Amino acid sequence: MTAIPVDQPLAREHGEARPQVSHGLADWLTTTDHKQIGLLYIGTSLVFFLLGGLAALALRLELAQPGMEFVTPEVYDQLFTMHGTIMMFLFGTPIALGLANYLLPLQIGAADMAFPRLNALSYWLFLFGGLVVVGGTFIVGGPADAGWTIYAPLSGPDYSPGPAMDMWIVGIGLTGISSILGAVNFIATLFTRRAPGMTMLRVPIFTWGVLVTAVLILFSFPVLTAALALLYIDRHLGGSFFEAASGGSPVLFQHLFWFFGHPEVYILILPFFGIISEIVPVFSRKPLFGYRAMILSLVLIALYSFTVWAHHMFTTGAVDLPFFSFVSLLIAVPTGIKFFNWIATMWRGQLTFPTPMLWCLGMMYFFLIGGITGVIVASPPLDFQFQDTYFVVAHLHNVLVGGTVLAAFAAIYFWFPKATGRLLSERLGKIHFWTFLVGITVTFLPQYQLGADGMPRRYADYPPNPGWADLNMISTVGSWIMAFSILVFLVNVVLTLRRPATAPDDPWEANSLEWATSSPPPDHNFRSLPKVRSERPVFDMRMSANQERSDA
Amino acid sequence: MPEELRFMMRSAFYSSFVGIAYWLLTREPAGTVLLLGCGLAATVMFGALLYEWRRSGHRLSGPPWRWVLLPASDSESHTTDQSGRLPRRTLAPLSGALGIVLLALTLVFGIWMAVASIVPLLIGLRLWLRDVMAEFRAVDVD
Repeated sequence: MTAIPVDQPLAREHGEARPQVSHGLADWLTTTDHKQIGLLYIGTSLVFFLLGGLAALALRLELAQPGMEFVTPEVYDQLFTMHGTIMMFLFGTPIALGLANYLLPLQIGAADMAFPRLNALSYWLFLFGGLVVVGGTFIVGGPADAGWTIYAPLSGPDYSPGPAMDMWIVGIGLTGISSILGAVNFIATLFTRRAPGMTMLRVPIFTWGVLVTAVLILFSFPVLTAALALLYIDRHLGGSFFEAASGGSPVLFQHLFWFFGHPEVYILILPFFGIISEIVPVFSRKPLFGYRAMILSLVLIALYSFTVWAHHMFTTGAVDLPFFSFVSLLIAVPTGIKFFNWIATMWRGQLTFPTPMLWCLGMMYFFLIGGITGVIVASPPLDFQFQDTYFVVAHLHNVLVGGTVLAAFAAIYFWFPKATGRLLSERLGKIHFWTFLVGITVTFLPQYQLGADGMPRRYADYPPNPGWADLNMISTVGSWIMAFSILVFLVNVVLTLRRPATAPDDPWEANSLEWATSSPPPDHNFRSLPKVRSERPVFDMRMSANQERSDA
Repeated sequence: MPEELRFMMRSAFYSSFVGIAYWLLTREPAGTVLLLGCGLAATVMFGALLYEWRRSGHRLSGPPWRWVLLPASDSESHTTDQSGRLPRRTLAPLSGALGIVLLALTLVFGIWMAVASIVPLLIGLRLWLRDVMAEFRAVDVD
């Protein structure tokens, strides 16, 4: 890495003790500090990630060979429902919100969020809502089993009687309200708490990603909440919104669900696009190529995401195929701009490959495969072929594991020293990365072939068709490689937290404002702020310090 | 025009335009209502931001239908609070959230959950109001 001398941090005098992350239980329960709330979000979502991962391992074991009876078909249905629900609602969205909570005020030079108490309320609502959803496991009959999409009438009173589906509705409704409150907070904070000089066109791309995501949340989550309310009325109050026999429309539920569900995919992706845009320039030693084009592409992706919901409904025969196919294909353009700009940022840069950068490259590779297969299923003739097969499962996982999980690990390795004052082990980090890379490849690539061969998803068993058993076994082995990889990550975190906090305040020589304060930052985040004259204020600060030294 | 105003205005314009185009192409009511709802929501947010901006003495030039074409002015945050005042630690959010969740679980387990929610809700509300009032008094003293 190029050795550019780093100034003394602005929030810590030379020799002054490093601020401590609070450890007392009462501190965590009563905190309104965005940094602690961010860490709570991230920690909780990682615990849910482990639960969702265990469900996935059980699913893959059941599918390893035809005729396996590791779990009953009923439990299999519950497992894939909880796996999808946890990963989408209790891991993907909240880890993005957690990173946003921790970083957004720091990146814009604010002391905290605009509404700190509301921020804490959002976290506790998310936690309790998640516990209600998972708590369905402990009631008679087990948790909900209608899939994470809970299509009516499968989730209606006839096919899902009992309290499990109600707990799902209430729990997800609460996490949705939590996300809406969080979104209001992010928007208010960004619009009203920016430091002097931090104009909107100097705001880091990650924070722009959070803004766009917050707007997506504000426009999409209320639709989900409304759909859940209507479903509850159908179930308990004699309603017939989604009951065809009583004049309702099951397709209406799909419209409502996917008007939320497709923007939800971008809620899970856009903050992580921002993360890649933060990390790649640091390890390329170049400014981000096309800062304004990156913002424009974020906004375009978000706007288009509201006009593509019915591409999930091509086979219903109730949607306009050319309209939704055209707009779905159009999303590839702003996404392509992002990839082009990341590559252009790296082009002729002084590239180094510490662990966060490796995760970024892994994300680009896997998300690209997910994106290209997305273009395939955006074409109605091909979508009719692949609907409800493992091709769609592989596409979804390439997008979400490739996009969200890999970028989340990039973020964790990159900002771990900021949050704790400790650098995660590079050796264990690289073992984690490479085993995860092998695991994700071995798990999901065979599923494309299975889908092309017509293997349907959401079935607990399958006939011994030629090749299916082998491909499924390979996929199962891949899932266990990923599980091993996660174990390495947990060991890395535990070992690192037991070591003393010796990391420099800006170990990567990064660009954005959070690196101008100590690691971890003090309560008020900054003792004083550097002048913000560009979108790389800390880089500017280092350069002017170098200039002063050379002048002297 | 500040970038945030432009962002919301163009979102409103886009959603409304696509909503109308979608209706003309498909005559499908659910999607049309949802798209126009997004347009309306973005318009409300634009209106709120515009109101704040005008309160700080700014004006947009030209007639409203031309605002969508105005270039962005890379302006500063116009309501920045640099006081650095932070709220003290409080149980209010935790207690309030617990109360809300118990109240919501009434939908699953019956009315006795609503009874159980009263205490944490009241504690949360009381602590929240106490903290807010204390902060108002501190601002008055400043």
